[in-house]
Amino acid sequence: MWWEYFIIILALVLSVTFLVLKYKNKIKHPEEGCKNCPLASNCEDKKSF
Amino acid sequence: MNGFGRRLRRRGRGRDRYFDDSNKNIIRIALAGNPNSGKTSVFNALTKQRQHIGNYPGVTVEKKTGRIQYDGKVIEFVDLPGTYSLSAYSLEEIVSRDFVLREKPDVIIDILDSTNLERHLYLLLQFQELGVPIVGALNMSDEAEQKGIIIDKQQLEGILGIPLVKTVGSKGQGVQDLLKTAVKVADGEILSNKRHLNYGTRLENAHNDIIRVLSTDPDFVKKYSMHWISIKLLENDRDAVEKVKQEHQNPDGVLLVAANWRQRIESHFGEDSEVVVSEQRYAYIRGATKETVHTKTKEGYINITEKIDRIALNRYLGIPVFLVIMFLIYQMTFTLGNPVSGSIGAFFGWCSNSLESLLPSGPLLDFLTGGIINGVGGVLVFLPLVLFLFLGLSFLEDTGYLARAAFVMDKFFHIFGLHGRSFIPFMVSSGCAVPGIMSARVLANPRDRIVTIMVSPIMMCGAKIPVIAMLAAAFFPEHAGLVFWSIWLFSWVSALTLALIFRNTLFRGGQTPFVMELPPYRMPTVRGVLYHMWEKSWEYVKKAGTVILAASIIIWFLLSYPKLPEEDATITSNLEVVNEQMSSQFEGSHISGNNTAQQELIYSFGGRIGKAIQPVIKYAGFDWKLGVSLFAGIAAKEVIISTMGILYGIEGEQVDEEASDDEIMLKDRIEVDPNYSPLVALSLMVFVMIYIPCIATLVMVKKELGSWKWPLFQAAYTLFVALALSIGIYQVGSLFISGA
Repeated sequence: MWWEYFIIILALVLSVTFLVLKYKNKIKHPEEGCKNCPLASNCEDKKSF
Repeated sequence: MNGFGRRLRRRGRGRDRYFDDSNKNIIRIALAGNPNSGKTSVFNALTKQRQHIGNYPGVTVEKKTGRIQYDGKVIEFVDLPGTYSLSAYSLEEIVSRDFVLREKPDVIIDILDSTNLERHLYLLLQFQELGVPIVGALNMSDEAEQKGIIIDKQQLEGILGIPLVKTVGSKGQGVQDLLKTAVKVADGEILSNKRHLNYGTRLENAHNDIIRVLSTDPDFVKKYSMHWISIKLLENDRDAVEKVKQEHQNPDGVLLVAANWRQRIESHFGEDSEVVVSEQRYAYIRGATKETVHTKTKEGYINITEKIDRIALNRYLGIPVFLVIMFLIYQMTFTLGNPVSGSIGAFFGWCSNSLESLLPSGPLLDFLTGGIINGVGGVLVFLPLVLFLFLGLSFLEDTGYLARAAFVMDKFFHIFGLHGRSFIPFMVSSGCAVPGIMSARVLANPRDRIVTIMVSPIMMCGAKIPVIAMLAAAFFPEHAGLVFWSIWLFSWVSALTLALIFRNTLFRGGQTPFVMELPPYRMPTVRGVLYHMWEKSWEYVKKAGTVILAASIIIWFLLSYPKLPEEDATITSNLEVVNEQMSSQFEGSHISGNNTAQQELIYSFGGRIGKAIQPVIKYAGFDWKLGVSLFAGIAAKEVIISTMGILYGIEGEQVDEEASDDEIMLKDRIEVDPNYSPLVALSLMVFVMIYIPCIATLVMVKKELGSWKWPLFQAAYTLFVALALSIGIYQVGSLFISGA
């Protein structure tokens, strides 16, 4: 069915776009990764990155 | 929130529209203090800004400012980096003192921890030497009272020659009094900083003689506090020496006099002149606090911390205790998490089956079951393990133990040629390497910084956890906790060993000292621990639903297309029928999966990549499917799991016939794959821990070190080391284990 391929291609394009934007954002806002840090609750300055 | 608060928030977005910079009536107040003094909370209370408040030794290297309007004046606050002293050892110290010297704030508010006044007064004395008006905030005065510490504020004010205000920054208590006093000092209504400490006859003679020579240059006198430069020259402070060299009319004369005095002091006291100066400061502080600080015997509060620290910080027991605690956490993670993981696997199996009964077979059904459910489900199956792991770590974090771990590891780091502060990037990297790389900014020495950045991504970050957990649970079910702990330990040992190699080859050089602040132990609240656990685990779920989902879609596509040409598929299918007939004649022989599906996989884009890598990685025991997964894992390490899930999903049933049809547990699938064995799993775990960091980390390394040569070097050397170790493990292991 053509619409099945259409959904797959759309999902593919959206995924690539999302990942590119996500990586750009991660570099711009590295402090988001601080949420996983074992020292996060003791860290005064994660916003200063 | 009142109207004033709202205005401040608005100003935060459209900076300086509300307060005009041209206003002559601006008072600049710098906030200084040791890390853990509660400086950030006082800054927040003064500026009404919402920021995170904590008590871990700071990693601030950037300046934070905030403005308010008070009594018709604009008050600008500058939050200086948290420092223990104003020596030129760290970037924070240099940033702080350069700000005071160059920007000349009207007042410095020095935030002092009332529960640990002796240590905190050291920085205050150094600010006094800079000759700037100071107001001292006796912060955490409530905690001091709880501990039975009574400070005679009036007497201490007299001794130090500065006004003091009692505050509780976290509750905003006393902050308005502090502001009022600071404004009065700035306006000259209250005199501050009238006294300097007396360093004793010999040091004072030296000090005065150096001031005499310094004063021969009137421009230099206008620029700096002679008192401060003179003391710094006695300490042989490299930054002060540089200032004299570059800006004084007679640098040789000044430096010669200073050198002569240093030599005389050293021969008289038998100590380095810097040590003598700091000992004099501490002696003065001890005297001042003895007079003004009294402690009632509330022994219980303090002694618990001291008693625990006797073991936790013990020279010999500290590191074994840290290792045992981490082992117990990992053991608990697997014991409690594994059974729940099985239920989640069954749930995704049920989802797959339901979709199959709802949708006709075709590319969309393959996409949904093989791509999305196998990819995302494969990662989410490990959520219980992640939850229990973060439960344990959050508990340790909230008790204050992790700061002790930092202290213990500090000594250990020096053995490997790393600065104690490198522990911070290492620990942050064990959550995520991207902020870990950034936190290496705390290292002033460029060599320390580069080495730390090069090795810290080897730590077991959140993304590697599900990969290692899956392999440990699949191949070492009885000892999964022990294996996971061993791999965690291995990541530390390999990162430190590589640092030692770098420090002795590419990046030779000296080290600088480091002081670690230790907050008291606290009993964590259930709410706090659960909140931290949830915060971290939710990140995992979010990542599975976003990055992993997107990556799974791309990988499924790469592993499904292009399709095998019709005639090739027919030949493979016919061969498969023959194979099935033959194997049915030989009872007990194992049918290793669906050949057509495997040929299709090999024919796909992803399969071609895997096949291209295979000639190299086969020596480490990896087949082409692992090659594809590891290649995809460069995007993000969890993608290794989702790729394997997709591969097995596409390839079809390879699960043991006794296994439930409803389960899509990847670990059950690879467990019965003849290409895997405990030895391959071990080799794979080592490879995953070390090989090329994820793309986001590499880009961050480039950003931090300013050149692509560093991330390229990092990718190359980690790949080489990972491959060498994995091949070594597999080849040596194969000699001992038959059939590996």
